Amino acid sequence: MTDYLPWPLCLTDKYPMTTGNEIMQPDINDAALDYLLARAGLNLTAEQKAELKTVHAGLAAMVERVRKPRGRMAEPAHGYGFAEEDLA
Amino acid sequence: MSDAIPTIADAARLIAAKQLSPVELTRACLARVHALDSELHAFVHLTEERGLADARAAERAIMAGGPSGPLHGIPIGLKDIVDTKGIPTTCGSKFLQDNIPDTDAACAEKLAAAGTVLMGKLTTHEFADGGPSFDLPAPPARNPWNTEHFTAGSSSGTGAAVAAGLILGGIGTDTGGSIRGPAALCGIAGIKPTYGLVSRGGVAPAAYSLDHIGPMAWTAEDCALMLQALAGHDPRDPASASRPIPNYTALLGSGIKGLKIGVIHHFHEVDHKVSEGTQRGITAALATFRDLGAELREVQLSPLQDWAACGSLISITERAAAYEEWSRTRLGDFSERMRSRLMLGAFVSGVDYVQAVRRRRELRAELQAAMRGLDVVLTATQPAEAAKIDAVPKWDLFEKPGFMMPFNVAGYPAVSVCAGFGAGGLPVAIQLAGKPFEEPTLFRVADAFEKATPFRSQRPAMTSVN
Repeated sequence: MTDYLPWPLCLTDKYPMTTGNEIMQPDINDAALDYLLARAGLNLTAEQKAELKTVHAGLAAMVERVRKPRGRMAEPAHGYGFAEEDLA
Repeated sequence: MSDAIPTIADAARLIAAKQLSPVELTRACLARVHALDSELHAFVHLTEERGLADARAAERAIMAGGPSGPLHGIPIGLKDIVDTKGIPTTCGSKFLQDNIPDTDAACAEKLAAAGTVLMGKLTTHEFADGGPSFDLPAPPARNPWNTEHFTAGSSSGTGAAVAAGLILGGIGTDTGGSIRGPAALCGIAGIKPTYGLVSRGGVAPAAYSLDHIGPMAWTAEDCALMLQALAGHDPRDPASASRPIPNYTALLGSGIKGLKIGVIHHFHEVDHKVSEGTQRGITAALATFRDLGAELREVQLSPLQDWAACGSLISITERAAAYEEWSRTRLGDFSERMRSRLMLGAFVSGVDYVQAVRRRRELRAELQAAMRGLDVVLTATQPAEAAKIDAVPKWDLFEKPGFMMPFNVAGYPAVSVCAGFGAGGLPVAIQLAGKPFEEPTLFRVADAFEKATPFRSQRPAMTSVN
């Protein structure tokens, strides 16, 4: 029996890879922060904004960690099995 | 009855033999609540009358026809994010101080149907996140082993209440370790079952795709008895699994000779080096497993940081979505810690979220491959003994990666059991994870460990002065 890699690892040789380049810069300027907060509808004080800026680099590092080289066919983990209720 | 706090299994045997009255057992738990909870803050809402009524009803039924099962007449508590019909469910938040649900959550319903005695609602971090917070309507729970120390969270009240014998078992929820974390720091057992095994119906969300409901109790055997009542399909939960429910205690006592345990050394020795006390506990646990006849193997996975990043991004985003409306309109009404977590949602783009969920699929495949030929894997639960409650960093999310999130990311079942005592006499723990829906094996290993070690014979000192 052939020993095969499970999906999605089996696809890594078959499809073009993204590069994993850095997308999110560790520092964020005031204008960018204001844009993101306005988009999220969050109304923060100057103190809260300053504190949030201090952890932006930590979040940027997390974002980079999940951006691994992978093919466009690599699907997310979301998946729903059909239950009895779907057949009723 | 004796002053000793029984396990659920012991109490069930005594109740079945009519040597222990559920009413006496409930009164003993209530006496401990009245003696200790002003210091522990484990309960946010004590349902004393309901508990005594449940106990009397159980006693009548048992005297008439015997117990309906091992949970009949057993005092339990529910984390206060679990809806309870006619009983306040505040989620530890200012937003829901007047919230009285008109239906029970699935887990509350199932435990009631099993004949348990509801003692009340237990302290939680606000909406099961952040904490410990001192700016919420109720104070944070304290660790019964030393009340100056943290319980971990967010099922903080359940951890404290079980350890101090205020209840014999309780419900926790776990999005990134909120069952196993308090279980570890409070020196008890707690299992995060396979994703979808226990219905989330009627339980406030923290992060939909990472949320799990599960039991916390003094022993793994007690958790197995509770899980038996809790597991099963529920159409109210869109992720609920539909599959046969095995007997979770069937393999207990059958030994673990020949079982294969994978040890993820790099998680707790390299990626996030644990405290001396915790490492001693893990090393001794591995020796115990070897003595019991298990085979130990080295397991290599992606760095813990990858698992933590994946889980944290999903968690931050799903939480921000769940509480978006209140974040936009009443952000100031959240606790400082919950507010901080919600604010992070602004930094995560839709693409970031999807990349995290794609990474999740890869990580899950990696764990699946690593566990081929193994029965369980082992690592730490917590990096160290409980910190002082006023010394828990607000942004711990960005400090060092936790050991529990990998199994939320994968959806695999994981249990924490006490592995001894470290600095300051505070508990340390090991974490065992199994394959999906293989909880019977997980309980088999955890139970064998508990029975081969002396740690279940020691309760917090504060319980002996009651």
